[in-house]
Amino acid sequence: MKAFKRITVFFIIFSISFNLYGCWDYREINSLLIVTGVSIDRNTLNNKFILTFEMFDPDATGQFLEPVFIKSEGITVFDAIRKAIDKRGKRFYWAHCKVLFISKSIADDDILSVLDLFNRDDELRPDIDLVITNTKYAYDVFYTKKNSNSISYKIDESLNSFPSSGEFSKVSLNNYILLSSSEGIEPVIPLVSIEKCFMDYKTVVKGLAVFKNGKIVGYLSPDESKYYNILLNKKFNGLILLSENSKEYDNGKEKQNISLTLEVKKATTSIKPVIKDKKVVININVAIDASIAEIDSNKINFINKREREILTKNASLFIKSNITNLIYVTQNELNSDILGFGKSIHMYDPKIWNEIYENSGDYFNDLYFNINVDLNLTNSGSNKKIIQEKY
Amino acid sequence: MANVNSNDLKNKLNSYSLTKSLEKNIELFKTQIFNDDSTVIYRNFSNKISHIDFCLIFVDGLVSNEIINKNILKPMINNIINNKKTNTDICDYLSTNIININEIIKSNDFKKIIESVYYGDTLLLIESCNYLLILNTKGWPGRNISEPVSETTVKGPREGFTESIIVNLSLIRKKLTTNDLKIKYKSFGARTNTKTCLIYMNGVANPNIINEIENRLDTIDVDGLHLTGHIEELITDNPLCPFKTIGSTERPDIIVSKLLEGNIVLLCDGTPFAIYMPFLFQEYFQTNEDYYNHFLYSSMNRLIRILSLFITTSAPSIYVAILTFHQEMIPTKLILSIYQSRVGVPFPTSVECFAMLLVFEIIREGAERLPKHISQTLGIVGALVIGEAVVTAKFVSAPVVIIAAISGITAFLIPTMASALVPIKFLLLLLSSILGLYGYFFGVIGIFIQLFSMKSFGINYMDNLSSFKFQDIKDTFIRAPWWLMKNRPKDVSIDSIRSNNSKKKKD
Repeated sequence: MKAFKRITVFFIIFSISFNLYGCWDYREINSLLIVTGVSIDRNTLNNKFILTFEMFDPDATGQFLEPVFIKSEGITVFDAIRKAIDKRGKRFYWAHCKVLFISKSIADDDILSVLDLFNRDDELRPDIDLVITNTKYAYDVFYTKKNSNSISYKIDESLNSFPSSGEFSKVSLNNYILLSSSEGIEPVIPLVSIEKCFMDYKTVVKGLAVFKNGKIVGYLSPDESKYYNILLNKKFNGLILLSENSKEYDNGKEKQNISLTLEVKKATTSIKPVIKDKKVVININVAIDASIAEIDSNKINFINKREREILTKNASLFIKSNITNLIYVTQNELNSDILGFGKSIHMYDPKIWNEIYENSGDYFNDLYFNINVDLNLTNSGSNKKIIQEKY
Repeated sequence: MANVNSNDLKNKLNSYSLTKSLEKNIELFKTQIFNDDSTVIYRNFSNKISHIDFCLIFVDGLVSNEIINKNILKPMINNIINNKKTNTDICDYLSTNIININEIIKSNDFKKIIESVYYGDTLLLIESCNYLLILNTKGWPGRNISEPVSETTVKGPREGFTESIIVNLSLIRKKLTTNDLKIKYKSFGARTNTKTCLIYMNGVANPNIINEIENRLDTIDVDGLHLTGHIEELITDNPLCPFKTIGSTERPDIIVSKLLEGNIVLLCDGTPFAIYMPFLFQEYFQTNEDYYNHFLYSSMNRLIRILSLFITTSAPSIYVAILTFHQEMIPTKLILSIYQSRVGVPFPTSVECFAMLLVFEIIREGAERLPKHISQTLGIVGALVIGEAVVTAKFVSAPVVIIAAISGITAFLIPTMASALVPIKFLLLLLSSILGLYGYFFGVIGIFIQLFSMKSFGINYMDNLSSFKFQDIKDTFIRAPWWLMKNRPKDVSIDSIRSNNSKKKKD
């Protein structure tokens, strides 16, 4: 009887607990709207934020899952999000939000003002990609939507493939905030623009926007972006396009330009500052393993030893000049230390860094560089020869 | 009435007694003991030379007619019965000189007599003798030795136990030709007098465990008992817990290997299942096929079985927990397809899961009892019609059907644990639908506490599973090669060394 009583009490408590369990964390998946991407603009008339959400909303049959768009305005970013919930009636779910499109006008002004909410929110993943839209409004990118593909996920996929082109870089929210808040380095954000392709408009990621103090100070061209990736030791498997003078190789009479493509297999860079009498020299050593991927010539076989040596020398010089150019641009035109030379000085000798940095916040223009490129042509694909015509 | 010591039964038996008169004795059997029982046959005959009257009493159908005719009637009618010459008791004279039967008992104990008659023996009543002879003429029909349906193997022996305890004993005996094999008869049930026997290897089995089993068996006091399953439930350590602490099998080869590991076996007449004790958790994952196959293959199979334990109990609960509490754990592409499939489904995920698991259990239970060709129809209706229609009608989302099916199928990999799997599955699902993964882990921790606190006849139920020594874990998660299985399972047996093989001998 006693045992029976105990069991009864246990069951009563157990069944009551069912009515009480309203766990704060419980939510059915179809009560949510999965946000895939957000664009942020500023309305120039009333200075409010305009947020456009791309989200998946299945139709009633559940056959198709198409991205839908909701636009809302608010005084702050969060205000705009809450107003958007009113429009759709479902809670937004941020964990699968992949891309944050920020309009150029906001980035020109102050990007950090919009990033705070996304950095503070616990549901949003900190590895969300940031892109700057090279269009009038950021939400213009959503007009390129076709079929049931999400624009944000498409952009995310292209961003993830950055090592194969190298013409842009992938920058996540936490990455941006880390770089913008640390001394001696400045962040960049990739640019998205719209291009016409056949009868359609397509989004293209190309180039980088360079920041300083939360503002855009200039842009890197796709070609410069490649060397940015190399110098920052990011994974880079892009191409280096060379134009070689045929005279140099076969002593022929005609001067002919031959296009050559090198595919980078592996690029490693070491940046080491050397400090002497308060004069800072930065030693940059770039080691590149590349293969000859394409030769647009039917006369000169660059794979032969002699030609190859000349080619290696010329290509190294070409890469070196490009790097020098990039450094020149960042130093003089952009005045933003995106390559992190200040950070490397800081790591090398914090005391001297403090001295330099405190004396003049502008350390960047006083740097000297010593660039060394070590190019190693590892292979030439599956061909030893070139395609030759019959004589 | 059911009690073995019931005075009613005792008094009744004590009231019977044999007299010197053959007619009176026959009358006693006819009118009192076997009254209203038409299967009992009385055969009166007399010796044609000495003119002594006899009567045979046996039950039709249980005896071998050939034995009675050839070995009892023929010699007893034809031969000269002359016990006066040697001055011996007629019972002894008959059994030593006349009757060609291997087992003859002289008795006047009515309990024994009644049992014997109904077990296929024949009673021989003799004129002017107040004893009778119980002659072994057992010849009841029995099933042939065949491959057990519930435990088939590809490489193992094809013989299985039958319902006859004698046949079963012979199957074990012929595999263990040693006098260390000890067999003790016991009978249970005041009315059924079911024969059981306790078998163990002397010098291997732990005497403490034998004592414990015998003590527990002695407490059994029931009216009728005809299954090992019945005994199992009466002597098990944790009768309320769905995990078994007593193993059972239909295969003599398993029983022999268990005996050699120090386990104690109990056979019961009328059951083709032998039970063995102690039974540890790891034995759920061991099958006899493991020991006949290559050890790598066996180890892989065993790991799959352990994995299937995890899948069958946890797949529904983890699915519900992640889908309703921890959406951030689902990869983006997966959440989109689940999201799509849940559109228009009216029930919460946990309700869906409960319903589909229940449907699966209903189909399984239905198919188990039905004849084979009808159960196929059930399978088609259950799997195709319900599974397909329920999704298209938007009653249940497609992933839940998949989860329920996976959870149900994987349960068949460890069929012996079926009684424990279903309650665990539902318990974990309930907990995770209330508290998410937090609740799931509560449940898992609770189950582990229960398992680790359990004992099977004094041996820790989870023995060896928390160890890192090779000789302890050699036969748990993996099946080590035979030459490395040097020790018997510790604690269960007293003689720990099993083999001294060394594979690495090179000439």
